[in-house]
Amino acid sequence: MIRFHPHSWLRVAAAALLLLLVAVTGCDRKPETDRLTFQAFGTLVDITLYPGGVHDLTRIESALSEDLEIMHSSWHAWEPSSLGRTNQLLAMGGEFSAPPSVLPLIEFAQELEGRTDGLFNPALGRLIAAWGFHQDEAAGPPPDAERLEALLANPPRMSDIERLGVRLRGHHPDLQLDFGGMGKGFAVARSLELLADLGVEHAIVNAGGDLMTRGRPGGRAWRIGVRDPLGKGVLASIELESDEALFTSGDYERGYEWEGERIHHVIDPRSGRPSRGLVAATVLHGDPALADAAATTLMIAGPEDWPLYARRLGVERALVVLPDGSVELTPEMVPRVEFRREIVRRIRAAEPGVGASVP
Amino acid sequence: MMRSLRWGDAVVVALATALVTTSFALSYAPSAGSTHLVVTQAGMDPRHYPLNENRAIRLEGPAGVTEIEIQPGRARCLRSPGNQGICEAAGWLERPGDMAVSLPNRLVLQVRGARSDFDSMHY
Repeated sequence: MIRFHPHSWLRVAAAALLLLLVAVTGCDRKPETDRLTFQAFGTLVDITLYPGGVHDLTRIESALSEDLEIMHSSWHAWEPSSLGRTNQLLAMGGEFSAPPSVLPLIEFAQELEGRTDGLFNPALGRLIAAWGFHQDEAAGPPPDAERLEALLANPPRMSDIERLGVRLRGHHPDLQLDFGGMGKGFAVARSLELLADLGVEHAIVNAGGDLMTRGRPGGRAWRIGVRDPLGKGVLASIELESDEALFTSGDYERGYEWEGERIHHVIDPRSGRPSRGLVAATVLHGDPALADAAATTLMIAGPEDWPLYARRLGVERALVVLPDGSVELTPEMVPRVEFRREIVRRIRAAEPGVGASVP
Repeated sequence: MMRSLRWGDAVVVALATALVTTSFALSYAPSAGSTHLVVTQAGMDPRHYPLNENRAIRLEGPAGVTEIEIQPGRARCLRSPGNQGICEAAGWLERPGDMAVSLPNRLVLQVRGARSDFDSMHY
């Protein structure tokens, strides 16, 4: 039985006030995340921060932008830079002290060159330049057969650089380092460290489409859309946990048309020409520098051998797109990818030539 | 000892149900018509354009002019400097998260809404 009681009015008033506050709080719809987009490191940088509305965005953008520009100017392959000075000294053959900003990249590249049979070889800057990629807008003409033959006759390797602690000595006159295949990975790692120093616990650093996560937004995984390299829209979605990097190397990134042929920037050291057989190679790994370099290596390795080189580099999760639009991926990558359209998929184990169609 | 439900208690229960439901709906339901185009250009504050009417936009950048076309519910990069046509190739941008990029002009076009499908785009 419901009976009126004088004290009930007081309760009603108090409860109404409390619930009104709840409702007003609900109306204050802060964005779940904040986004910062700016130009740095020669590309567009997109920072996602969780939770939204609590960070000093101006301070974060200023700090990241300044840091990325320092790295960009240090590692620039064709403008005056620490790397440029290093290249001059390497070619001269004398012993010199390596710039601290460059030495870690040289050490990393030497290790990877050995593990990839030379497919990943940042010492081939002269070859990259010959194809017209050492300028802001890549352009032809491509090198003719005679020039290409000369460049490939005795090409420099990372192992031609002798390291004596922090001292370096070049043993090949054509040594010219170009860290285009791994520099962004180092830069993304450094940016995440800087964000941590600034007190950011949950973020994505996305530099020109390649990215790495830190933390988790509200206890869930980060949702990443993967743009279709052959068309428009989204190819797939991938959920990333904390400290996971997603890097892609593709023939659509930098390049130009020459006499009806697409000339792209991933140059195969074996042929001296743009790599063939894959449109894009994507690597998911905890180390962004390795993910960056591995994506380049798989792209060069091509459709037959990419699983073999993924294994050699310790990459368990990788995905490649073939020119016919089909996709091949490692078994470990399968549960991480949700395709957004009908697509032919094959699972490739680490041995070359071993494939199985996915129903 | 259990007491009988009083009139005021019933009102409290009804109010609580109604207001909490309304609050929840306001917090999490996507708001219709909130989709808009955000143009971010290096060195400038982001510009927001509603996707509710036909509109043509010309933006000056370091490499020339980027032309943007807006139609109800969508937008696209119509023309932009650069020899690869990457900005134009993105096609119509319709869903929150859809994005076109012009590196020569240092700008990003992105559709945003109350809630995007993705936290970031990989390309």
